[in-house]
Amino acid sequence: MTRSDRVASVVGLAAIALLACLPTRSLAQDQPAQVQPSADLIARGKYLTDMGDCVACHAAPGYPKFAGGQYMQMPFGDISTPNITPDKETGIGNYTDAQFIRLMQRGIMPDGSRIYPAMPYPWYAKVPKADLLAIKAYLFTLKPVHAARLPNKIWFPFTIRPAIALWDAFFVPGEEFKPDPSKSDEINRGAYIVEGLEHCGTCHNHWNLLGNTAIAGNVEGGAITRWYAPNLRNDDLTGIGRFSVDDLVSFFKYGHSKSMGTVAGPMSETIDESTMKLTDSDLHAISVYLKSLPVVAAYTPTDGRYRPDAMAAGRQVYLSHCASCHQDNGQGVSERIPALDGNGMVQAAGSQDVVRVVLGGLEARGPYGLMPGVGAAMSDKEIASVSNYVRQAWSNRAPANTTTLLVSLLRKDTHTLLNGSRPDGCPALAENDLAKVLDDSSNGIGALLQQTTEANLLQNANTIISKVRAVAPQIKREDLVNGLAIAYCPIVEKEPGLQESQRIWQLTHFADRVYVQLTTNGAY
Amino acid sequence: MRALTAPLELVALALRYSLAGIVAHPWRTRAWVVGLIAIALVFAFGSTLERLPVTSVQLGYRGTAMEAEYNPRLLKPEIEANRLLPALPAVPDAGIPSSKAYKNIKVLQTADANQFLRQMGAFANWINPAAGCAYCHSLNNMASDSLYTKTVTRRMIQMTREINTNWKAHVGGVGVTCYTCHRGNSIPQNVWFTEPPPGAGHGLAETGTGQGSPDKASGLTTLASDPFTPFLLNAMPIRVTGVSDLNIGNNASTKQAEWTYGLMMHFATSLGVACTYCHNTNNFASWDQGTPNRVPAWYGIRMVRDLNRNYMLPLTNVFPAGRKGPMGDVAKINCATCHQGAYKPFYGASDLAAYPLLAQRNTP
Ligand code: HEC
Ligand code: HEC
Ligand code: HEC
Repeated sequence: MTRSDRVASVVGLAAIALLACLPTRSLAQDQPAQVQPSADLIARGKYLTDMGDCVACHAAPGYPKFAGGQYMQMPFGDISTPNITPDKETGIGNYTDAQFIRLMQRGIMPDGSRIYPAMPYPWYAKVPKADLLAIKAYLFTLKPVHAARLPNKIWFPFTIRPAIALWDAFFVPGEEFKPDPSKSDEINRGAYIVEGLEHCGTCHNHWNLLGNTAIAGNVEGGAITRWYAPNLRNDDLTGIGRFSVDDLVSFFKYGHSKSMGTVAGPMSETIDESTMKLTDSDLHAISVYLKSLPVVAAYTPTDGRYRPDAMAAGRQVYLSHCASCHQDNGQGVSERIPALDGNGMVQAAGSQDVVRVVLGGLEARGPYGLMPGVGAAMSDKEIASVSNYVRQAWSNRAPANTTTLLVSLLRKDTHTLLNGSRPDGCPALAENDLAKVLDDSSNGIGALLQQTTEANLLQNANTIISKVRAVAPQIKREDLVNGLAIAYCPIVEKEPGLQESQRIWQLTHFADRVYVQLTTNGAY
Repeated sequence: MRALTAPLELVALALRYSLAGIVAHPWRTRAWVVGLIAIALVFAFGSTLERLPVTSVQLGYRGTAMEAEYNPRLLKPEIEANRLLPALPAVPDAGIPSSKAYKNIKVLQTADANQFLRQMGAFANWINPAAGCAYCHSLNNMASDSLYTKTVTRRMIQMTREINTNWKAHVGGVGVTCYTCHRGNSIPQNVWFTEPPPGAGHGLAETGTGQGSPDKASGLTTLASDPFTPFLLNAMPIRVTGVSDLNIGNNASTKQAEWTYGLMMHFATSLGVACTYCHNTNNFASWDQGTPNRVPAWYGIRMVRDLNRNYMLPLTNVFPAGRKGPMGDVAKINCATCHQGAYKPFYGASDLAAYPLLAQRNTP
């Protein structure tokens, strides 16, 4: 549990003591006011639903979108997300407009009980009613899915719903967004998005569970469950000051930009499911708004506080495990491997992101390659040491606060395709163009993949790529790299006589080869 | 080998600091009490006594104590830790040489293109499986030489071939592959650097001649430090005993004798054997009374010297700063680099036959 999580749960306990006895208000003045929504309204509703990133939570692998089924980790247990398709029995089909608005703005369900702030209603409270109704109108056009909610795994006494009322009483602003006339329209638009539907503060606020208040802070960085969301204030070293508005727009649109590197962790979901779908002018507004906020430094830059001999040891690890890709000078390779010097997540106040990327690797994104889960071959001590090194090397001045304890805790939780430690085995390949190509036995690609071993993978990867390119030239490079890795996973699992570590690296070598073949077109 | 040195290191440290305490505060009872407890602990845990059982392998005539002692309990994890990776399956030839299929091939240019790729896959597994190809190749252009590791690798392939073809007197038919030393580490776990000159502040008790400070190379004894530079890089004579009765003309110093002794300690710990593996303790110097194992050992010394001089030293400027020793020298080879505690690397198992490209003679 991170510090801010712990503080949040202490506040929660106080809430029980104070409020377990308070009755919750019950609203009787709900009136059914259903009118047939226009196509414009539905289109606007879809855009706003994307902006609210509802699917990031209300969907899970194997579940249709909006049907819920995901467990979210909270400091007081795991909470499941409900089905918000218009199914009458298991979804939100019976919600009236007023009930929907009350839920979205106040976190109160139709039966009067409170919902947990895992649903970001403290942020949605800022959204004008008309916009919320557009979202509802869109949700009600979805195909109803019958999917009952999974049971919550929450510890007593947090299971007492009325206790959550304290969150409202103290921390919810309770007011819809009002533009600040002293600021430009664009800044106001950005504020509306960031502080409202996009709920960026759920992760980027210092006390991110508490909602968007003075106490919770406003996007100056905070720990979330096992990741760290960096400071979004305009500070040069510890915030986004180094990045231009164009960099930010590209980051929100594609998940990578030249000076910011690539996205990782929960932020990739925010981008893939939400910001990627927004208009350029809205992304511009978000960026301009963030840059207009008062500058706050996330920490006092440290200089030489990390002992020189520890730096030398960290550099050894860096040379062995990172430098060939990220380069000795930390600059990476343009549009292939991100720079670590000046990288936002490397410079964040918390070091969770670096450790998790090292432990779990990263899929290919845009022009960037795939980062192997190198941490699988490294000790906790080596990872802590290299994390502190990259946080202090070159122009970086982040606190050297990675401990072996942090690494060992995060290791238990980091299960990716690229470090081979997924308890549920290989992930399923999405039903996309690549899956079709592999299923089609007439092209021989699937069969070739089946026969691929470490001895012939360099050669087979070349053949596979040229064959896939011939039948499906439209598949994007990163989708090929990541998709073929997923498709190869069960094959490596079944190959006899391999040690566990060999399976991981064989998969990685194959994916890397696919990437190289695609980026260089075999010109070597 | 690690398991052996770690507790010893602690004990040596405890002893050193408690003695320093006594020297610094001889009038304080506390210093003496702590010192005596430390000395008692040294005898309890630091001595080479170990729990039974023990088996011995006879190395010479009966009754001459020419034998090697092993503790099967301690040997078991060593055997586990010294296993080969399963060899990669064979692949059919492509029918064209690698130099036709790819650009900028400098060492393996005559290899068949498919065998070449298979060998590359093996390199990745042996040296740095996590970073894989990217440890030596720029992902932007596999042919480019922008990474120093690629330059080093070329030279290392040549070195491996040199060992397998010209040093059969030492490696016999077992031979070596990259994995013999690397075992998945980008720098083999056992390498050595020339140490700074004596008196450069190694420890409290170190003398100006490099004695009096526990030296890893010589099994944490306080023999003169760094026995490698004189023998495994330079060709100083190892023998210090005289050849005639009155020792006429023998100028060998105590320090030289300590270096020789340190080198012998290194041989023993690297191979997991005692002196009697090669020598008859009746007369250490005598070739007639020793075991035949002394012959490959003699070649081994020459081999390591050759490799350090002709393969490692020329790479000095290729390695980046963090990879060099305190004196700016390149990492070098000694017996432990390959042997890693076993009398033969991997206790004699070999997969060189599965990688014929490494058993070929270098083209001049
Ligand atoms: C950060 C995760 C998250 C996001 C984003 C999110 N929700 Fe939720 N939502 C939840 C959770 C968790 C619950 C259940 C809370 C509880 O039961 O206490 C919930 C509950 C709900 C409910 C109540 C369902 C019921 O069973 O009555 C509705 C309606 C809802 N969300 C709609 C939305 C909409 C619309 C959006 C997008 C604008 C959205 N949510 C975005 C996590 C999220
Ligand atoms: C095989 C090459 C390779 C190696 C080795 C490697 N990385 Fe990476 N790393 C990458 C690539 C490629 C990415 C970008 C992945 C993506 O998102 O597409 C990346 C991303 C990252 C990121 C996230 C930065 C960002 O902007 O996305 C961090 C932090 C990182 N690496 C740290 C390390 C550290 C520390 C090591 C050594 C322990 C290391 N990497 C070893 C290739 C590598
Ligand atoms: C689910 C949690 C979460 C949400 C919601 C979220 N972020 Fe992030 N964000 C992160 C994490 C974790 C990182 C660090 C990893 C990375 O840089 O990719 C991050 C990184 C960033 C970065 C890069 C910072 C840097 O210094 O490199 C920016 C910019 C950013 N987020 C902006 C936003 C904005 C704007 C929103 C709202 C639209 C938002 N985030 C919503 C978790 C989140």
